[in-house]
Amino acid sequence: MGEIVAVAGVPHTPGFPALARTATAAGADVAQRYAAVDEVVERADADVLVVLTCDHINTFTPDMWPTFAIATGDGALGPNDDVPGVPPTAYALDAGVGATLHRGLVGQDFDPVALRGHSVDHSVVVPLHFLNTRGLPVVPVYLNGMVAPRPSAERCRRLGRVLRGALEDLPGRRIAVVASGSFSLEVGGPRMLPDQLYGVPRPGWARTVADWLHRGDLDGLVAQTTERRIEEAGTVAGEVLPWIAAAEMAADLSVAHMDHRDGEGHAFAAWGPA
Amino acid sequence: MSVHAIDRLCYDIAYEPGTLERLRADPRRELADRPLTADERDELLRGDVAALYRRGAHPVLLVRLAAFRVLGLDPALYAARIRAAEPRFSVPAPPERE
Repeated sequence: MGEIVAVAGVPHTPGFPALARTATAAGADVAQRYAAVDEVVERADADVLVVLTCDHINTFTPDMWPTFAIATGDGALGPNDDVPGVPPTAYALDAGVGATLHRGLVGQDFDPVALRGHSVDHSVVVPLHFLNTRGLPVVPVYLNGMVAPRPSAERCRRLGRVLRGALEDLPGRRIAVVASGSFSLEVGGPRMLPDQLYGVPRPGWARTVADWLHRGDLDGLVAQTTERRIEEAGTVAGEVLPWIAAAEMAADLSVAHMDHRDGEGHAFAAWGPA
Repeated sequence: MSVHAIDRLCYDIAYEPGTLERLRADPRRELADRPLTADERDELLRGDVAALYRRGAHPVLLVRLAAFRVLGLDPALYAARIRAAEPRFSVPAPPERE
């Protein structure tokens, strides 16, 4: 029987890998925040990483946009967008785990696109940069948090439940899950800061999401995560949906780490061995 | 379908070989070859990202015009212009929250 041994959640700001390498207080701070999550993942001694994320219309196109997709191939190149400090990389994927999850999802009435070959953007690359120095094989799973209509929070929670069940059918595997993204973030829209290409329109919502996750109140989080509330929280705030799926996958684990700061739109979190 | 053509242009700047170079070299010609309306072409040539956003262009794609510094845009100018638009929502607010 397979076991989910750790679940993590982190932001994927493209500038963070380069920032973390600088000899600055901000660089040391961001490196430490990822390292605290990675400690939990490392202790869990996983043998595969399942990354739940939202593509930013890089892997998919304005012509073809899936609600759910899962990698079933054995490799992916990335980043396919701009991630300063991260060179072009060939990531090893676990095709067997991907195929098992695909079969499990279809068997439970989800219909994800199967990606036998694809490239990954910063939403996969940045978490792996900080949380996969051990080079574990990866399985990216995509949820549409970017383009309306998005799947409901309840459906994403159920996706997490089905993924958990499928993973438990994998004999002897030790699985870590990583949710990638923010709770409140505006990219490219009117609520950007005057001097930046992003903004955090609803920091209070981000605080509330972090509190719900910390308390394990997934019912409360799912009930309040509506399409309207997501859009009020920013153009990419649908990235909360992978977190909801991941939190459901963490149902048998306890919160080991939660790091959210007032004013920020994201959190650094981990469930697993304390 | 025209909004799709705006989105597709923004996507192609990064991923369709030659689009970025053609757009920089002769923006009018590049836009003429795409299924855009006259108003959309005019808004693109003026870098009027607020108008393009109001039409429904996806902001995650639209911002690439600034990132790649085409159509007279740069990040600061893009930010100043897009902030003039009202935020757009795909669903109405529930009555009790209006």
